[in-house]
Amino acid sequence: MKFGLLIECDKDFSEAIEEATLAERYGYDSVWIAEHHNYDGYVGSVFVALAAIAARTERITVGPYVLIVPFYHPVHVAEDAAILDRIANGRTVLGVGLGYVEQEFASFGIPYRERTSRLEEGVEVIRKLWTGDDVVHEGKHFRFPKTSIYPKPIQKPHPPIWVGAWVPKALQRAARIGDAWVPGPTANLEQLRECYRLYREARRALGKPEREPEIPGAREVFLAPTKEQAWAEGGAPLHQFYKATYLGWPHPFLAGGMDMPVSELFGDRFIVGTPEEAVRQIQRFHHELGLNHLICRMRVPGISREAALASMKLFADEVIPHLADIT
Amino acid sequence: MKFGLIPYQWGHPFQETLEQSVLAEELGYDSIWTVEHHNHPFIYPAPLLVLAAIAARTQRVAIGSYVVVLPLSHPVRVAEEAAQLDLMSNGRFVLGIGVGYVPEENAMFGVPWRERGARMEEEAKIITRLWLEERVTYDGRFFKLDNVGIWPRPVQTPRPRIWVGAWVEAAVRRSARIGDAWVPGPTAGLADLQKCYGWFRDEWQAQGKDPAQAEMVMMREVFCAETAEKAKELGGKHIYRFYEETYFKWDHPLLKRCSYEDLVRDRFIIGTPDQCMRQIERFEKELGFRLDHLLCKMHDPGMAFGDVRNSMKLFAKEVMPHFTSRR
Repeated sequence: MKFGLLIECDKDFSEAIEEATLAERYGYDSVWIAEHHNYDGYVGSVFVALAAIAARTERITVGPYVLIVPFYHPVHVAEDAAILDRIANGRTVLGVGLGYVEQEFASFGIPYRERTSRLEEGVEVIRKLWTGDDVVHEGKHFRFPKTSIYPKPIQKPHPPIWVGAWVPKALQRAARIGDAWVPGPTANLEQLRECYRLYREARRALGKPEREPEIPGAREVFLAPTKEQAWAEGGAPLHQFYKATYLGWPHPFLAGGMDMPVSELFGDRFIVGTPEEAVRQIQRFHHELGLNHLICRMRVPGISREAALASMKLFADEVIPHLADIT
Repeated sequence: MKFGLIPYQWGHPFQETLEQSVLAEELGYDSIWTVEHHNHPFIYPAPLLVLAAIAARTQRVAIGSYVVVLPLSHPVRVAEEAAQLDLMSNGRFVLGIGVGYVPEENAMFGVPWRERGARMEEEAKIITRLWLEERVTYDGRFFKLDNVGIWPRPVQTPRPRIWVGAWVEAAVRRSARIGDAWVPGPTAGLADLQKCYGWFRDEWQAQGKDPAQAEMVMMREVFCAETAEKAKELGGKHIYRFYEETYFKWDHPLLKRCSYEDLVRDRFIIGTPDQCMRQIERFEKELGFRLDHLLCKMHDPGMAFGDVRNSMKLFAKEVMPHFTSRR
């Protein structure tokens, strides 16, 4: 089993680089950066941030989780991801998503209603440019005469494309355009099971193997030596963060959940507790869903950097060794 | 005078780009520059990503693009990436911009060729405002922004410098309006340089800007070796071949096919340290002013890494001190 870490990018970017190099030293397999625009503590230019991290690491996989493809011309994305793959010497994954903040679409002059068709056409263009020369494209949003990108990615045939999605239509799209579906941390085990069923059914209908070698998924993770400490330093701030965000948003799984009991919100969803509890819970996600690349988000606003770094170390020392051999 | 280096960025291994940049910093060069071309078999397309990797491996040198082909990108994307770079490099970033001169590149991105000048001017204005103001509303010919902000903000105050590459009179004059310096590329001969610097200074003063604040900058092909013969064999020959593969094929405004000797006479800085020194002095004498910053393009495709390192070292040890120590 592989383990990744979602890196927070504060104003002091050297801290992000430090977290990435620590993750590599501790034995994590991947680091990820999310794309958000004009939001304190986040990064809009994920490729630029990842290029810096790639230049300071040697082994670990680096990738956006997720890049909001509809904001960009896909030729730029294909080129940027290929250059990143060169800088990282073949250590990249391209996580892609639709985006959901209307204001961000307006900033880039992209109509919100076009986001699904732009993602789908964008990924098609990216694949074509990564794997072929003199590509001619005539699509709904993009058209260009004979075009090649150079350099091509180091990975052959190309870096994996992981797609974020929740609703049935989006899961079907992920099956169609992606190399893996990558669920976020907000769905519980039961919801994930249903999503996987739809996703795998769609893969089968397309004649693709139901399961890819890598089955990734993101989770909220926070560990401490005792249950009480894990709740105080990680669980309580996480609860507050969910109240301030997803529980108040039109989220497919959490909408209207402001009064959801803590046990229901946390149970089968968050991995918050001692290392022993985490091992059991992750084993369960693995057995039930096949999950074998767990992307951990250990720090949401409200969780201190020191506490998150301690959790990151504890997870590396006492969870990863028990699970690394699972495939 | 300051000295910059355009490091190797023509293919693989990418590692060489980073190692040359690190070596340049050790040798006392003042800045590192990256290029942008699309659809070309050996020129990198993503200058700001390459700079991110270089920024992560250096501490002191300025890092800049020469140039971002601005009309091919959305200004919010460029403003964000530049701000992220300025943050990651602790304020070492310079944004070099140009309109581009290869119509096929515009076709790839669906940007009408005839709009490139007007687009660049509008984009430069938007980028400058996004760096200076928390929230920008803008209603232009190509872009509309409604209360858009960027995060992170650049760290330099008031903002990173903008250097502009341009050739025809209208464009050189535009540089004085939207930029902090006009930067001729290596393709202009002495006569063109004299003419263009004249337009720039004229427009700079017409804008009411202080002539003392204008940085006088120039990029040249530079190659230094122990003997003139070695300089031609190890460096000059490859530069000429590069010109055959690029500028001679493109419809370059200032450069038509010509002989190696023609290029050496009024354009290149090539030869022994003494010859290089005298050529720089000649440029300054003919132009009638002292240069503030000379950007050295030292590694064209085909050159051996070892020969380029030797050229970098010789130039740093025996040519640069002559100009950096003067008052």
